Amino acid sequence: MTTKRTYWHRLVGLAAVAGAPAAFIAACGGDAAPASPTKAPEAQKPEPTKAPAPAATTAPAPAAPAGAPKTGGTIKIAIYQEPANLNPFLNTQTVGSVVRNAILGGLIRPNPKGEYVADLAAEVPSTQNGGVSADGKTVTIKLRKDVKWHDGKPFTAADIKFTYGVIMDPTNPVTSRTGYRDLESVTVKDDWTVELKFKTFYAPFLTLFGVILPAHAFGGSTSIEKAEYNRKPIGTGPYKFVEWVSGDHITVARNPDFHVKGKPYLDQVIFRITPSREVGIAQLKTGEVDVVWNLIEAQIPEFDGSKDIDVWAHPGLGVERLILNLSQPSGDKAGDPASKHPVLSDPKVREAIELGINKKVIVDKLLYGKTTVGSSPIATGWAAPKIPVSEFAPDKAKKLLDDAGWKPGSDGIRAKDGAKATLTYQTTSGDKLRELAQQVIQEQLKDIGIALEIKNIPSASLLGTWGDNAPRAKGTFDINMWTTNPGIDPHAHLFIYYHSSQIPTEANKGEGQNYARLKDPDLDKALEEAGSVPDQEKRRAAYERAVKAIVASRVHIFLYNRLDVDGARKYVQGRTHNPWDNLGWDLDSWWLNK
Amino acid sequence: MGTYIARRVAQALPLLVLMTMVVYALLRATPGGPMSMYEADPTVTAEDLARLRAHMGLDQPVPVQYARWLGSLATGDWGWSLVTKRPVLEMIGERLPNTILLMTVTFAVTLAIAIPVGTISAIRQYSWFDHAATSLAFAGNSLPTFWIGLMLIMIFAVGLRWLPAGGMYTLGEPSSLGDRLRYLILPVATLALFDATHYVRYLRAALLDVIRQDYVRVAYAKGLDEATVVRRHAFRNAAIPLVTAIALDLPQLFSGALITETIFAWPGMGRLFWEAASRVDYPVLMGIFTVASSLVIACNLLADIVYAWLDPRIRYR
Repeated sequence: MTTKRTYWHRLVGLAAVAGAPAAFIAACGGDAAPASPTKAPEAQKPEPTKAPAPAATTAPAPAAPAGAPKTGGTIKIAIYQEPANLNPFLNTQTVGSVVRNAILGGLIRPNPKGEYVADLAAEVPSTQNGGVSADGKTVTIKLRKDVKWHDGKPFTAADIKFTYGVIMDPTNPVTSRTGYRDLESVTVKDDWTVELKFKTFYAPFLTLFGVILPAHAFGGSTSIEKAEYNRKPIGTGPYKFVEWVSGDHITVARNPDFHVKGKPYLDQVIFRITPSREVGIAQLKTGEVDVVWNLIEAQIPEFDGSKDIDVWAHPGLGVERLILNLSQPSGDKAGDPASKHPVLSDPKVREAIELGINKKVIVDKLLYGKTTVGSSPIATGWAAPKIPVSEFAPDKAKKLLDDAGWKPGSDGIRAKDGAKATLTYQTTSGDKLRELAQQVIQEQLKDIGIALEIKNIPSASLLGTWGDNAPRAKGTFDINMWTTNPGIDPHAHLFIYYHSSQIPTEANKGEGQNYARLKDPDLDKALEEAGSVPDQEKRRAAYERAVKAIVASRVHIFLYNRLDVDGARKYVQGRTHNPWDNLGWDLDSWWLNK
Repeated sequence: MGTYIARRVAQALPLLVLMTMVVYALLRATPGGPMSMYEADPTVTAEDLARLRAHMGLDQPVPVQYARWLGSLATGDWGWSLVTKRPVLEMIGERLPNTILLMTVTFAVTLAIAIPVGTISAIRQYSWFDHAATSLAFAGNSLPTFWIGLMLIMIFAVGLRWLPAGGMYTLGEPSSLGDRLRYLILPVATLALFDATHYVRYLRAALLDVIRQDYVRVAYAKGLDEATVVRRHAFRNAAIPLVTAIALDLPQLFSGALITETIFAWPGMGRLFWEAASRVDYPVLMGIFTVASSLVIACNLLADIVYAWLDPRIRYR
């Protein structure tokens, strides 16, 4: 009997503890399952804007250096997830790229301003420097000639060709072939020149080959699913892989032959795998680790008044939003884009909802004023148009609803033609920040005569797929709230969320993420154009049209920009925040001031 | 006895298969699934998803997938993780030594506390020691381990800075016995305090039963001193319920303590289970379940055998 009782004790406890991390994961990843990529996935790193200076731009000067960087020492970084492996083509986890950033390198990467800079490429190819043909289908990439792999072998164009072979090898479960499947050929012109020929123009072509694998490390075979390399990578990055103790830590050490002279500064970086963010925070407080990766907004007050610890909080790419369903939320026609939501299909109602929400109060009170109010699906970067923040005007909202025929009933809730403005409002359960925001919004919309019924469900159900019968996929919801974000090239993100072909239906087996069921021919046209012209300026203009149409449709109401939060001991110097990449993207510039 | 054991083992096998079938069905009925790790990435297209699903065999009907899993298990192949792409047995093998270390030390400390405290509590019933021990045991049994663990971290790691908050050893420094011991203190204390409380209650109750028996009174009447009476006559009979409890707890030596491992960042089996569960990694979960189920069955059998040894009146055929 004892055993059973003990067992149940542990199980109940498990439920309590299990709930917490799940909530945090949801809070941050928003759109993600446990392995939550909050950032641009690896395969989708940078994009060209101007012709940037080649190399040497890997890292800007330290933000607030206390004197010149000192060399030496060890930094311990707590990561609350363990990478599945370190092969970039076999998993999409953010934490995987945090560790890989120290070890591996790619052709081109985004800098903090959202511009493309060369890493292993000698320069960013463009139509101006002859790297990109007029039709955009032929791209010639010149490589740096001074780069060595960690085992001393030279880095050459053959490695790019090999990496392409790995991605396309049918025996490999690579997570995505997007972009690569549009390639017709990858040709080695000479040791340091490679030519990519596309079958069709692929707009985010500069995001390809964000990570390169060493051809010589696989014995010539491109079949890599079970390769030892996946846990013992060889790269070109600032640090060399040393060891990985499962569930405990991953150690990397200075690469003395790193191609940026004088860097990195640290002797060693140890990624300490902790089971949760809370454990990482405890270890940061005791000084067992120096940095904690990826905290949530609600944890910022944990460090109030700390003399030794800095909270690094910067607006990131994720935009917390309401998703409004335009189709019928129940019955036979549920989710059918041809059907109409009795309340939300009225654009005046959607407009009134946005006018009725005081976004500033949420930012000031719930996010400590540390972030910015949301107004657009693309918060920052080369493609981000300037979109004014919506005003908070409850009186205007009431008038809009009055004029549209939505009259308040005896309980103050508006109705029109028998349809009552009572809507269910779902987000991930157990998320403190989201629950508080819900209460604020519920209160504010009640004031204009719209009732919200909060019915939160676990993130796995809320953010599930067609196969899981998730409400967002099947269209069986009124209002959802979660976070998602574009990569540095917004093409995939905007297309999948707002193009009319991306509405999940029985016919397309639930493909696409146009959960709001928005159908706007002008928007479709703008998105198609933005994805098909090689000229970056024309793309930017098309995105401006697309974003304006999205904002005006109010199928997503952008509440606030999520924060990237990390914690660190004050002696950790040299770091720069890069919303386009993960913590440690500039690990070669970090140093210890102690 | 030999035929009895053989019969029990023969019964256990179908039971084990049945359990794996139930667990597999339950796992597959939960929402989410291994494919959900790709959902958030917009570059992973429907075409990619279909290809990955087929690669992992998830496009087959569930009974077929189960049969495949069982078939390869029968040949000794425990499968490969869907997430890490590594052999399941290798992943379990990495964590098992850590869990066995933590749990055997805990087990030893638990018994070292529970046996003397329970015994003294019983033979000095209603003394101040008994009152203190039973109240503490009651309180300890009511407090959740995660709370005890967090409190110990708050006090001894964050507050006093005497002990580390988590991990198995100091990173980046050569390993030493003293260092390893320092990292064991808090997790072992958390587990042992909790586990000891119910062993104390069991032992005390059992001993109280026994020391009222006539044969114990006879032993006293023969003029034996208390220590001998308790050791020779009372304890052996009182041990039967305790042995049951211990035997049924034995599988934990291998399956670990999820919550304590999670709080103290101990890379053991409990955390492997939690990680696999949160990523819905079927082969790893099934591997852990199969090991755990086998151990529970084996330890039940062990308990029955030990009864016979402790009490010659018990006969099995």
